[in-house]
Amino acid sequence: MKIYKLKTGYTELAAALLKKGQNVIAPKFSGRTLLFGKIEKAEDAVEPERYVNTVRSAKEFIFPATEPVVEFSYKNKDVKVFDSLVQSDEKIILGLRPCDAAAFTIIDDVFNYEYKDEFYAEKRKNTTLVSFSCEHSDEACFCSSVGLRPDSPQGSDLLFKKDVHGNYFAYSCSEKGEKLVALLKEIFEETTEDFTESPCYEEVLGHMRPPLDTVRIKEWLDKNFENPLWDEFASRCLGCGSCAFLCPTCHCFDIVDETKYSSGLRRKNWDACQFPLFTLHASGHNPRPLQSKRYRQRVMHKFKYYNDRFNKTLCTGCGRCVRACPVNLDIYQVVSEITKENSLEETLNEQHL
Amino acid sequence: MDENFEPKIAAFVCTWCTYTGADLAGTSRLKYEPNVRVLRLPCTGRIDFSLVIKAFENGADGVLISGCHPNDCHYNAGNFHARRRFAVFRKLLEFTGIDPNRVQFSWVSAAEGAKWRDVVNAVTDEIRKLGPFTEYQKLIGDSFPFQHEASETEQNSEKEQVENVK
Amino acid sequence: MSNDKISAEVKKLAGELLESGKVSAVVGYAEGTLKGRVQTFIARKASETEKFIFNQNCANNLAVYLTKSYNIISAGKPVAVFLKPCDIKSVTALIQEHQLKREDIFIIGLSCQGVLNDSGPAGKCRACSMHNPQYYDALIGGVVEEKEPEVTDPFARVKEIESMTTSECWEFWMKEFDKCVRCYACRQACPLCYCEQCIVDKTRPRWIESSAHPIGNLGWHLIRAFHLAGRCIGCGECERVCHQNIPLSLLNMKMSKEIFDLYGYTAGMDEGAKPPLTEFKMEDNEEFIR
Repeated sequence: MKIYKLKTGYTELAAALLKKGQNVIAPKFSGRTLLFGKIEKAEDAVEPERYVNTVRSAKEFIFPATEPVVEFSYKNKDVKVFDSLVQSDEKIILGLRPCDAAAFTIIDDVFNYEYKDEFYAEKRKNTTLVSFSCEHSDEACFCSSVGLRPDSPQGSDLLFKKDVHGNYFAYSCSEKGEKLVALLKEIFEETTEDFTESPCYEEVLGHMRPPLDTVRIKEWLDKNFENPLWDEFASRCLGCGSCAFLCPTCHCFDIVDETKYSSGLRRKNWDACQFPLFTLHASGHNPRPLQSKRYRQRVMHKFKYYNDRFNKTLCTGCGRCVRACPVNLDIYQVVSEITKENSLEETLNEQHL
Repeated sequence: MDENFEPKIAAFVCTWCTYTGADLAGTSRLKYEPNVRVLRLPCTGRIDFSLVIKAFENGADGVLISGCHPNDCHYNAGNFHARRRFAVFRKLLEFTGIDPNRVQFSWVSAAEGAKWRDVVNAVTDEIRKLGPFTEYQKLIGDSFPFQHEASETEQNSEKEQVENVK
Repeated sequence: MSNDKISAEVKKLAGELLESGKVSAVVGYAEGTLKGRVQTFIARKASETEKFIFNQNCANNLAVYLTKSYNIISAGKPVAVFLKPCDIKSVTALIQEHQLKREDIFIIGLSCQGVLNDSGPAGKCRACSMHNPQYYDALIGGVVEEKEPEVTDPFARVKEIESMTTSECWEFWMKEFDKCVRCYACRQACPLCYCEQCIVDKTRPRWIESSAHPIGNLGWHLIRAFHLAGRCIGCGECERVCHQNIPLSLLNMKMSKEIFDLYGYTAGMDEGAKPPLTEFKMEDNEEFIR
């Protein structure tokens, strides 16, 4: 891993990329909402020290909310079907948080499992992820609970950190990162000396919620597909898709056909396991008729099923679901309660022995 | 604006009054603007505002809704309910930036073939002046990014239809 | 009265109700995990009532839990629910639309001095002139003095948009709707969006496209607003729960304003009144009809 010193600030970095004709995606305000968006002017990009994280994750640039996969047209009995072209311009996502960058390494597994999702893969290949370590966190952040840190390099092509004087240093973690540095060689300089890292990252780490015992959680989930606790957790869930749609690792989608005039598109749309429609069969039967079953699916998928299949936890602790939930149904709190429950069971078992 | 612009207007009419009125206009050989596509429904009370949205989503430049005069409704009160609903719906359209003149209303009875002609002519004229509903049509284009030539654009299918009629 | 005192009262009353077996469950608020946020909480045992609190962060409208899909109301015993004066309006509307029976619920009315959102007093509270519950089975916090609202015109924001030109309005809303990801939090949080199957979930025929593209989003927001016309009581939950900050209650307020101007009706005030779009008068306005 090579280290480079950035001779300028964030805005100048964005400006330099734009000047080179790059397609830059970075956090910017859309009204009052901080979202990733294409940057036209470097000044529109909000500096990383001014936000904890964006409202929506960056997954939409690799796995969009709606994306055509097949195109068809019909004239009388003549039906034509085409594969939608996999369109992907090279782009740079700037100002990511390490949790969001790590999320891509987690969902890479599922999009390349058995079937390779070329729509995902092509965009993933053409995207350079440039992360900035977190100088702030809020009460909802819990990345350290799921094995990450405010300055984790997982998934990032280039990870920036500040030194005590506020200068940016970049760790290049991949070829794509090297390429980007080479493109902007006039503002980067390679450095070997150990710089004194700003203490803010350790401070942020200190403010995080206490770690979760993901092993314990999984143990409990393995045994408790049926448990009255699910009813208790989910009794107040409103059944909206806020948590899933904002999550950087939620990747479920729906396939719909939409027609316009005599042509149409088959689309891949975001879907959420909290909707009753998600599992509704054509017969009218619904295997998950109750919210408690749907909420269980969410927790199980994140902390058990994904673990069973890919040996990873489907959560990066970005805290978006916690911030957005209308009723403050906090997944961290839920799984902490599970851990407590698990230790309780163990103590009881030991006593019986 | 294109000088030769001809608006496409979806006319949702009730079967008992306006549809029969339009029929009368035909049998009376009254000539009127060919821009309306008549869609027959049981009653104005059945004309859900979603149909209006659907019409715009399918490229209409304007919508005309027409039914029985007050107190003439075949179902007694359908048109009264529709009147309230559309009075409010127009305001919602206006609020979201859709010119309310793109959605027009009239009462045309089964005996008013001549009124139907006048209404259609006047409405067509008004919507022609408003021009094509480019804002909505842009949304359609943005939402349906067809990549293949063979996928028909609206214009092609329209042209063909016209040729077929000829 | 201080928050602590009110919370103590809330706990006590909820405990008594469950202890005596008068109600089968109590729906209320509990401490949240984030600053300024509370959790909704449903207690079924007296021992759980310790969790209940009430303070200025209790923005949620708990009337949503009284709708059929939550299945909280079982025959025989009422369910107690904590309701602020504006939340009671949604109960009125639910009763009016035969979704709820008055005898099935035990209303714990909370006199309210307004709730907070992320940036201070919630918009609806600045224009609120109803700080005491209209009706209740038990009252918490006593009767507070009604004061002149800070914002005298509840429709001020609506009028701002109205003063814009058609194309400015279009531009404004397209920008807002563009952020929508169709999570339907606005629908789920709304006590009056109780349809067993929402029109947007209907696929035969498909009325509104479920994709988060411009056509689908515009269709959804128009339909949501219009289906609530003359019914929305203005609790503002749709806007509060929207993480994309789309000013959804503006659309609802516009509908309320028009309904009031045209038919002199305000939703959620009288459980015996007929909703304005289900009735008509011979002399209704028809200026717009040729």
